[in-house]
Amino acid sequence: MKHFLLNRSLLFSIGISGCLLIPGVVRSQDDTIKLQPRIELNYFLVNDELPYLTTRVRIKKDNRWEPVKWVIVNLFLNEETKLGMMGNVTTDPKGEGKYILPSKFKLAWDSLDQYTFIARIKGDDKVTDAKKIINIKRSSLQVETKVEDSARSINITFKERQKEKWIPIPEIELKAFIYRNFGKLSIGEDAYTTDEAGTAKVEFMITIPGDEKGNIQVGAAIEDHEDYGNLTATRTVAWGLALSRTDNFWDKRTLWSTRERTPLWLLIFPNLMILLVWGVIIYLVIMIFALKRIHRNSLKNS
Amino acid sequence: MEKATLQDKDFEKLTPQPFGKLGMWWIAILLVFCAAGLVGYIRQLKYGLSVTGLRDYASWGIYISNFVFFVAISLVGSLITAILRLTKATWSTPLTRIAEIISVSAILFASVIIVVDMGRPDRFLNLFIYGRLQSPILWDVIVISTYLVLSLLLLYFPLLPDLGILMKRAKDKDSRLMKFYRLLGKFWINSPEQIRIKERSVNMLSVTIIPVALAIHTITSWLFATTYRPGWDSTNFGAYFVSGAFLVGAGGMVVAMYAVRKAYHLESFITEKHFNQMGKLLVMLSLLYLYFNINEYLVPAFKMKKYEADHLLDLFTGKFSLIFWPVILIAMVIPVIVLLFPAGRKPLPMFLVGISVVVGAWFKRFLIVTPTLLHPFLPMADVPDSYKHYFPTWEECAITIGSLAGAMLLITLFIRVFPIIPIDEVLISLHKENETLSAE
Repeated sequence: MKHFLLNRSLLFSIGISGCLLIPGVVRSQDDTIKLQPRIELNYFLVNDELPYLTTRVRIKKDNRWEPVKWVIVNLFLNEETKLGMMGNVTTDPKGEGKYILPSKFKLAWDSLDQYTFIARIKGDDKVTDAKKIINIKRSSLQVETKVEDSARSINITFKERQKEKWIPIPEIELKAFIYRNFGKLSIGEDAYTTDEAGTAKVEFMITIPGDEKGNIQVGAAIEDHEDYGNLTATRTVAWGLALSRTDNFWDKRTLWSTRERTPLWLLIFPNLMILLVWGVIIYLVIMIFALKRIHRNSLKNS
Repeated sequence: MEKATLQDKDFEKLTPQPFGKLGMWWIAILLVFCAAGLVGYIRQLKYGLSVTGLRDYASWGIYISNFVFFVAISLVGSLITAILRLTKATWSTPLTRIAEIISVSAILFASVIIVVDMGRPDRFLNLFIYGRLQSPILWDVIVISTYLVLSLLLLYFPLLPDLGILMKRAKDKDSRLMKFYRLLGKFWINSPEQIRIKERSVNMLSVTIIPVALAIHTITSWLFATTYRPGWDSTNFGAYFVSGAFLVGAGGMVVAMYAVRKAYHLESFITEKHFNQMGKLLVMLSLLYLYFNINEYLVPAFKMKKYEADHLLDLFTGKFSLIFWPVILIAMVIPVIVLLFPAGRKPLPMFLVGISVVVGAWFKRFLIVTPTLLHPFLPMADVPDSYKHYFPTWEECAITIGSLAGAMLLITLFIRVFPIIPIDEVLISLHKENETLSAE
């Protein structure tokens, strides 16, 4: 009987504890469920300088893609080994990261015609392990500007490296643009395609403001190409209208400009008033010393 | 007729006295409030302004209300000392020091509270490093510091002869108080030349401090009026603020007069005549401020432009009406009604009216600052619910009450150290009285 009561109370306690704990356990399981991330990996090369990779990590929640921040993405070149590891990036609040190829991979970079980039997430608290591989062929995009009989043109050349030789590649789609303050302004047609010689010619016929010397930055870009990734080539040329900055709105002495451009009336009158009042204050402080001097003199006389 | 003289027992009353039991209790209570304010401020320094109820819209709350209140009450120095002195209203002579002490304490704590409102105190330096003369905030910094220096000088010069008298008559010449007096005014020998310099200096200060005093509160009003918001977009704001400042200053003065008179038995110096005169002054100032209030609210209410209407209706019949109407009543209407009758200008009713004016004035500043911020021209969209309301947190309340207690503590300590009635000036006025009597 005693055992029976003991067992019943034990079972009752376990039952109550279980009821109390289950929601907690369920919740903690919910918290620990890791979602499968999607990794985006992109290759960029600007003006044949140092290439860089961008990563973007997202998860799908309630049918919406949401960025995953503070995730470490390991990056490898050609092989997922210690030797092939280039480094890692930690994603920002937008789930994005950028990685410039380190100089220790210069030899591999110079000697190969094709590269495999691997992005790997492993052992993260928030998301499951994931991997993304892209294969990129070594290529080069170049632009040159030309003026012939006062006709301006941008000549674009695209080449691929094959067995240490640079071979022109036809049928590659690219865009021509001018850099403006807030992005790229397309010029000419929507897209151009390279010919047999790997070149494309863009007639430059627009009038556009440049800097004080008329400089503008023209360029061409191949975007999201399956084999070549993202390539951009630019060149600065004085084809724009030279803009005089003498009538710049922000250079004037106004109530909304910087302290160096305070309106003169606001410099003169308040400062005069300040000088006047503080002049009185300084005079009065001198008077305190005058009172002290009278005291000293009276001591001497007595 | 009998000659008016200053008896020894009267002189004793004018010298600073140690605190009694009541005084110690008063100090202890003020210290407790100050300590609570300090705790609140430490928390604010540790966790940032998020411990306050201040958010994107109501970014100015009771700190700025308190700042405007302090700036307003500080004008009493220029009113009593400068304006009444220059207009030869000699009845105000015994009140000048009380007025100056209130001024100095209030302006000091106005500076403190503005640093508190900045969140990180080091940001105060940015005003000097990056300050632009185009900004009324910089004008305010300049004029507040100028007014503080002028008020200190106006306190110091008339104090010099009193220090000389106190040092001369002291029984224990080596006491700490006497050493402190010597540090401040050992050089005062009361020679005719010194008296002439002192008189000239006080006159110069009286003339200089009036435009600065008007500027300090006008510029404070411009902090509001130069921004385009419902309730602040007014060309009347400078005069409206200055008249309100004189009213609260006079109200604060009456409260201090009554408290000092009671605590130190100064009935023969702060007489019913002084209360009577201050009462008449209060009536005039209440009517003046009421006039500006009618202007500020009636004209926009007549037009009821959309955004002004939201703001005004919130004050008249909405959630702020429970503060708005009592403030109009206790700070302006009731003082006029009570003080119009001679019985209302007796010390006790005056004291009660003074308190109602000061309390009403504090809440009036709250009504100027916060409701406007909660009625922006652009509608509030996609903001947390807490952004749409403002209610101060306990930290804000503790800091604000702590600052008010701090100002009162400073006044109390000053009264403990220095004579609250200017002895020398009282002696001079008695001397003049005697001369008149002799002539008769």
